[in-house]
Amino acid sequence: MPGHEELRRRLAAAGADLPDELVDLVVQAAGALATALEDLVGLDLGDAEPFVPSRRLVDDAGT
Amino acid sequence: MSSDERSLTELRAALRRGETTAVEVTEACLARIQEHDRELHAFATVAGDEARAAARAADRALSSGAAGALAGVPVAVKDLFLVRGVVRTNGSPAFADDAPAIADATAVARLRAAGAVIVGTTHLHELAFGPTGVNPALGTPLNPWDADLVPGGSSSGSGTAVAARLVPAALGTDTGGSVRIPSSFCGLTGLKPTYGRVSRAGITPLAWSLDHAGPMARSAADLAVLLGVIAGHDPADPTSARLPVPDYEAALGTGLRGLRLGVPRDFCMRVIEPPVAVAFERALADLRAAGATVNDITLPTLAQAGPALGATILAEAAVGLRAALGERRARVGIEAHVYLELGKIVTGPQYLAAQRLRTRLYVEMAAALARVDLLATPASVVLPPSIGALQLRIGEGEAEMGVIEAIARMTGPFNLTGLPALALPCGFTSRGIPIGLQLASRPFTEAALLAAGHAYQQATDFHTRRPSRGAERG
Repeated sequence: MPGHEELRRRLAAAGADLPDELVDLVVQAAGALATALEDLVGLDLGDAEPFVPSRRLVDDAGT
Repeated sequence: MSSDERSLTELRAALRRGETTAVEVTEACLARIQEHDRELHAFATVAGDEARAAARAADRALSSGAAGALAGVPVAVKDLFLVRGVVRTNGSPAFADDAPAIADATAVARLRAAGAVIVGTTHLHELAFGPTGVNPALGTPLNPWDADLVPGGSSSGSGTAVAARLVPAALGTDTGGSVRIPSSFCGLTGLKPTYGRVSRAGITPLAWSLDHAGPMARSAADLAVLLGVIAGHDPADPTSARLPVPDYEAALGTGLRGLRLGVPRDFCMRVIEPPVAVAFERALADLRAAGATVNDITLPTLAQAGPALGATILAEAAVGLRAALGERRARVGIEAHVYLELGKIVTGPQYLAAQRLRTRLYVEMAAALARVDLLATPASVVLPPSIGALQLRIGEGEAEMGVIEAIARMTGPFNLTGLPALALPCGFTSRGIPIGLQLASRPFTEAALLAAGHAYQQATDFHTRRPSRGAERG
């Protein structure tokens, strides 16, 4: 699975401190996450700025 | 009627009428905890002496006519809030040796100022980092409806304590659904207010752009009382909003007639367990029968909400909890350790894309909420999973999904956007497992949300049912 290999590579590159016996389980459980995170970067989000809840929600209160 | 039979609002009325006293109520509450919590495992710490002192003070206030909104009402608090005199463990052995807190979190201080009797702190998913409530290190609270199923988290002990009638109300926190999920799985009513509505000062952060504090109780009417007490600007929390706090109780009589509901049906129904789908459709029918109109809407960005939530929680927790943990980092349990390490793989561009996606999702929801008054979804597309389950096969298509993603699928989007969202019981399976409905609304319109929930609960009785486990029937 490409996502699993990507996650294994990124865990190693990030220096993640995981016991050897857990790496396979983590890769199995979270392999899809690595792919999904990378897909986020590829989305066309137009001119959307980063969300700042403490500002945006107050600005829109009562609308 | 015994005090465990009474909801918060019923108990408050009985105290004000002099039918019982805060001392009697508190002693009965402590006795129930003493009798049942060995099995239920809801409480991390029981603050009996402090509760008795608070009850005596509440009785003095009640007899002098100076009682606050919650005078004499027992309330439990998730062990993520500072509670004066109590060790805050955050659900982790890493904090178990900390000194007792010397001050209260703001929300707790406001409860005390309103006369509430803080009876103790409740267990949670370690560091609030997970939606099942399973905690191998400090123990998992029991789901009073079925001991084999998770109670839901992370505010699991609060869910168990209220569902089992140990207390009439509790506080939780909600970063991806942690108030609404245990409320749904335990048959309660729980509110995630708008981001900034309730102070987070004195609460251990998990992900600061997603964290909310909120109340859990039996009904929307109970929540209206609690929110009225804990809401409002707090100089100690720079993210708390400088907006007036409405009278939530006064707004409860609005009703459902003419209310417009929008249902993101394609997302809700794509992956869902059949009993949840049946209960949700019946809830929509009940809402229509009470005078609401229900129309389908589309929120295309919901499809990417899960990864955006994951990126935000993992990255913010890896930074925020590092500071909170300090030298304690080596003592966290294995699940929290894995999540903290996974935070290292979230890149800057991924985190930034997640924050931009939040804006797009918010704009879609705001546009929908310009056409309808409330959004309606199931609180969870799955029933409470078995303890220890990691993957689920869901629905007739048997879509395979991780437990975390499945549980938080409907709640997480409202953490991403910060909009207020209410979970309330809308049915039970044939085996008696509760199912939850979620309603969400525009920023800082909790009054409308609670009024709709109250009207629904006037027309249904799901919120009044109680599990067989827990405090004995009157």
